[in-house]
Amino acid sequence: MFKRILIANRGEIAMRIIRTCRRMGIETCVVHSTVDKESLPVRMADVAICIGPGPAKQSYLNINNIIAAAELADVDAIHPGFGFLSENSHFAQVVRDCKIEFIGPLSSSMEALGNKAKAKALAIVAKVPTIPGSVGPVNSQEEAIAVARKIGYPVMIKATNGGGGRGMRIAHNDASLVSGLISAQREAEAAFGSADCIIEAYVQRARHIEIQIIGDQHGNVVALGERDCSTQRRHQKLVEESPSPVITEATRQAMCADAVKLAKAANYFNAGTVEFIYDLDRKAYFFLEMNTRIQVEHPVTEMCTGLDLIKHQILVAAGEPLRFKQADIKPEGHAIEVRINAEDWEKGFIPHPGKINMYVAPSGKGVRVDSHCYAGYTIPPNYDSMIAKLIVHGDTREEAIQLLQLALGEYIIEGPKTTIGFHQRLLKDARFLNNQITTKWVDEVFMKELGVG
Amino acid sequence: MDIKTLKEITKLMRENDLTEVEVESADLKVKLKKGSTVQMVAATQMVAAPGAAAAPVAPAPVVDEFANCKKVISPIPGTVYLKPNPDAANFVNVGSQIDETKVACMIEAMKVFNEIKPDAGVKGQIKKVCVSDGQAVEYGTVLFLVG
Repeated sequence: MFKRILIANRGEIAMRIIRTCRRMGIETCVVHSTVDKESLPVRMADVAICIGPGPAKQSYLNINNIIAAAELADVDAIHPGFGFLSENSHFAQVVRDCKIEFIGPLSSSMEALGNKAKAKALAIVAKVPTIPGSVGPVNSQEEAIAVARKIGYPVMIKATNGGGGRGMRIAHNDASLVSGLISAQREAEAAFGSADCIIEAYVQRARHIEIQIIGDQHGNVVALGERDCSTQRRHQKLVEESPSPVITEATRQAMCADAVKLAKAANYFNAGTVEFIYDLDRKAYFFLEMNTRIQVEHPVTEMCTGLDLIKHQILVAAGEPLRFKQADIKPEGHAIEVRINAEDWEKGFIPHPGKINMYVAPSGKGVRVDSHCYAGYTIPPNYDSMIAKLIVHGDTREEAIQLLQLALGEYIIEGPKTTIGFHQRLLKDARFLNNQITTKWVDEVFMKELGVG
Repeated sequence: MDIKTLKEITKLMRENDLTEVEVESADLKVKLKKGSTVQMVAATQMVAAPGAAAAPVAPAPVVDEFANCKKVISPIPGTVYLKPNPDAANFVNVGSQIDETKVACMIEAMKVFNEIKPDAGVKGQIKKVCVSDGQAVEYGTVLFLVG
């Protein structure tokens, strides 16, 4: 087993990794920027090494200095957390070349899955459902109509060389498809020099459902259940829960099996998440992308399965086979996580860093807080605005929601503005309670009703 | 803590050439710094002083002879070496002239020896060598003071 692990990250996830290392009797070395000198993980780690000034490029993204620190501290492995260098295949390679274990997948797996187009191609080969559409650009209106009828309306017409929302049209029937195709092709020709357009299924009402998987270095891959992260604002997740309240058990099993299939196709080991888009109207799921790292919302899965995912990441990296089989995974109850950020949500979620004067976190059975904050701590402006993750677990979704409301009511954070108030509003909304939301709902409906940007 | 004890401490400092000494007892914490007048600091708020030992004295100004010096700081974590090889003389010593073109020391990181030179504008005499040969340093560690 590793004697000492270097944590190439900061804030809440650095605390998370340090805690599990301490439970496993593994020494911790945290690298940090000058700005994070007084942070909790730096104080808690056995060794702390400053690797650069505030800007991430010169510190948390500074591969040279991180490796130099790893050598200085004589570590056996590096945990990259999430964000920063966690999905940087070059970093993973450099770490391994220095004979230090990288707690994550192989660089080649990262590369196979990191690029959305490559990942989709791999999914198609592995027979994992992807968004249906034309194979290549359509050559005639007749072909376009045939494709659209096969995959079902509504469809999206997309310029193959396009971007920035240009050369895109939505069509709900043959007539709008034909007119849409003509105008999309004209726009594409003018903007991108090529009139080529593909036809793709358009998911009008989507849920974001992802499957947590973990694989070992012996070829075993196990799915640990799903997380429904449909409450999003500008593609940023706000709330995550498990199980997903909108899919059937059969769909759940199929998604889990497909996630495992994809991971195996990429020779994937360690923790990863396969993200799908679930079409509420077509009642079908499509592969979106795979995240080749531990994710922010991993505690949701931990609360339902009883597993310490960071611990299993470390065990896998150390070469151990998984300690459980697929049949052993029986998630229980319902877990919900909310992200509490230092943002003024009433003014459009403007970042609001600063000193925390009073900090009292909720607690109790089924209530978990993952945070690096404390009274007297100043949230620096250089990084993300996350203060804490609040996760609850109840026997049912109703119980979990009630627990969450109570916990949010108990949470005292004085100083910066926080998103606690936003979550309290959300948890009272009938559409959230009745599982009627989609990935666009917060932006297009909820925020507008609240009168906020 | 009484004046007799304080006098003994200052005697100890002179005899052993100590620059700074900090002593803590149940009711008082005293920091003595050579070249400055004595500073009395009351004990932390958590410990109630039984009958308040000594009235707090207004802290006297501390004279810092390095106040106006510029710093040469480490840009990387690693091991600092003050000489090019074990048998050679130091790159610089107190009193040496230094500027951005001169190597002040080396820091070994990832099996590579990096020559460390002062930043542009840091020019003058080495006033203090702040690290020892073979010491582990991190980004921001002050290596030398230049004045």
